Formats: sequence, C-alpha cells, structure tokens
Amino acid sequence: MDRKRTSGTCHLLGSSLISWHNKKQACVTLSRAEAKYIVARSCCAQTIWLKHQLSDFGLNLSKIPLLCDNTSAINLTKNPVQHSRTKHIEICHHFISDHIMNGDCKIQFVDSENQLADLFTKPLNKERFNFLKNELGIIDFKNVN
Amino acid sequence: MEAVRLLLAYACLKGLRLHQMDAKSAFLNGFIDEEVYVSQPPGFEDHNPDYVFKLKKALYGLKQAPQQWYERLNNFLLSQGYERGKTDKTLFIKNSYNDIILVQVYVDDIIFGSTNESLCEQFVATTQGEFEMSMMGELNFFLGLQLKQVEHDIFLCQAKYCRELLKKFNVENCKKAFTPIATGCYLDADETGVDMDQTKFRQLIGSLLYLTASRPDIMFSVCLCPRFQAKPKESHYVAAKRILKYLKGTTEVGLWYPS
Repeated sequence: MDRKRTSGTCHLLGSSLISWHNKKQACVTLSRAEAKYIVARSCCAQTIWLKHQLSDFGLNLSKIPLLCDNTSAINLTKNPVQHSRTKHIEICHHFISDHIMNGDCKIQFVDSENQLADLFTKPLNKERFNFLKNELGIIDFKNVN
Repeated sequence: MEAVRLLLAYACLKGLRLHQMDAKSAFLNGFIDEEVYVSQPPGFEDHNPDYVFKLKKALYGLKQAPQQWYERLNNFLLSQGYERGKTDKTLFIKNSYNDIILVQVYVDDIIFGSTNESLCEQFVATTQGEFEMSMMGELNFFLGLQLKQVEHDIFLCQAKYCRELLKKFNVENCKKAFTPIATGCYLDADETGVDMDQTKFRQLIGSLLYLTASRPDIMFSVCLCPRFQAKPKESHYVAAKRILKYLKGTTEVGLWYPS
C-alpha cells in the first residue's frame, strides 16, 4: 500500500455525460482536503478545455459550477491562506483559485450522497452503483423511453 | 473521443440532426511538396528496371500522407468560408445569418450537423465535388461506437464490440455479476500468488480499455488492473474476469444523451 489516493472526475453538459477520468494521484497527500484540492484542479483544467470548445460551437459559458464534496477544499480555493496545514501545497494547485477569480468557474458544495464522481474512485455496492449509473445516464437501451 | 462526445451532447441540446460521411481512399488526395521517389511496384514495372517513380500525389504508407490529407481538407474547407476551431483543430464551423454548421473531422470520417438542413445539403454537395465520398447518411456508426438517434436524443453504445469481447475471452457461460468490482476488493502486488500469462492479461486489459469509451461504469475497475500488468497474478486475473462477468449481464448498456 502506498497511500496514494485516486482522483475521479466527470463532466456533464446538461444531463449528458461527456468526459470522465480516473487516475491514481502522483503524490502522497497529507489530508483529504488536499487530495480533493488536487482533483478540483484537474477537473477545472478539463472544464476550461470544454468551455473553449463550446465557445467554438457558439455557446459561451461563464461561472461553470464545479461540484466538490469537501468543504475544506472549497474554502481553500476561496481563501488560499498559507497556514501550517496547507503551505506545502504546490503553487500549480492554486491554478484553480485563479480561474475562480476570473469567473470561468465557480465551486459549489455537493454532499457525498450526490457525489457522482464516486463511480470512478471506489468500489461500490449494487444499490449505490446502480443509483450513480442512472444519475449519469448510463443505461440499458431496453430501458430507454 | 471527448470532442466527439461533446459534439453529440451539444447536438442533443440544440436539437441538431447529425450526419456522417466517409472520404474514399482519403490519403490519395493529398499533394506532396517534397520530392518522393518509390521503387517500381510489382505489376507496374517499367521497361527500364533501374528507374524509380516520382510521386505526384500522396500514397498510403507515406510518412507525410496524413498531414497532407489534413492540409488539403483544411485548405478546402477554409476556402469555402469555414472557420477552424480555436482549441480543436479538427472542428470546422460556418455561421450564416442565424444558422450554424458544425463539421468534426476524424481523419477520413466526417460528422456534421446544422441548425438548417439546407446548409448540410450544401456541405455535402461541395465536398462531393472536391473529393470522392461514400457512406452518406444518418449518423449510426462512428469510430467503433454504435449510435442511435431517437428523435433528438442520442444513445451510444459498443454492444457489438462487447459481445465479441465476451466471445473472445470465453465467458459466455459464466454467471453474471451485478457490479464490476467487489466492494471489499483490495488489489496489491500479491507477490506470493500464482503467475499468470502476461500477454493474455495485457490483451484483456487492452480490449477492456477500448470499451471504456462508452462505458464509464467499468472505468474504475478497468483502470485498477493495468497497474499490475508487469507481473500479473491469479488474484488480478480474477478481478479482470469479474469485469467480464459484469459485462455479460450489461452488454447493451451505453450512454444516453437526452435533448
């Protein structure tokens, strides 16, 4: 066991699941908030790409909601204070707070019950697995309509 | 792949009807700017066997061929008044009055949709005048994805591929599993375990990874396996088999894009 956490993100346009990703993080993190902060950053980068692509389609978005289930991580993006528990977090991870200040996206809290990205980060039981599948629009063609 | 899914989702949202077409022997269309010579191919020998042929246009297998094809298509579309996407260089857009046409190119496969059907017809007519095209029509099969357009909703899946995969790995008679991974499943290097065939394990992972293009539900469990592909043990093989068992019960599952 190497104590590295798994990042998982997913992106939806309307209720269509467009992109998702799961990756074992490259560095060991000290707290859950820090791990979530790293995920939020990679999620933000992907969102920015999608935003640019959509602006080519003629759809301009701003303040795209980015849902995160950890309040500490959210507070970290709002107020990048340098106190003893967070000052080791690398500068590149502060990328996200910059984009929030520019108004590209905004970060919102979601309770872990409705955290859709759980599908990409942990093994789940049948009920939870099917619930998330349904929420993300991963369904059997027979059940369509 | 993401760009394609994004286009599909956007099309649903805006109620665009998507069409596809395919360029026939696309690479042969490219012009080459360098001097390239080929040796005489069998069946086309000249009476002077020491001569080589100089190429006027691109051939398959030529290093420059894909780039030259893109260049040709790019120049053609730009001359027709299309604009190239700022981030994605394979997306072409044309606005006319309040209508927009979106063209996404993937080497020789082209998908396009517009808010105004007459723009689509115009696009088809002009490209057909320039290149030889085939397989025109409603979008139903693209890059191995099966697509179904139901009114303005789109459903994409890889059911056909999935069935072939299950056949290939002989799991047709297995029991079904409800989830792709057991809840308490913990995989580690398992150094004392029984060694398994590395090639077969890699083949299995490779096939499963391709399936994740339309199946995010198996993403987590599939991505867990390749971490052990250097030394696959029996326990890893069991985990991979479990994904196949899960797939057996969910062959027809795919992504649903509602409008």
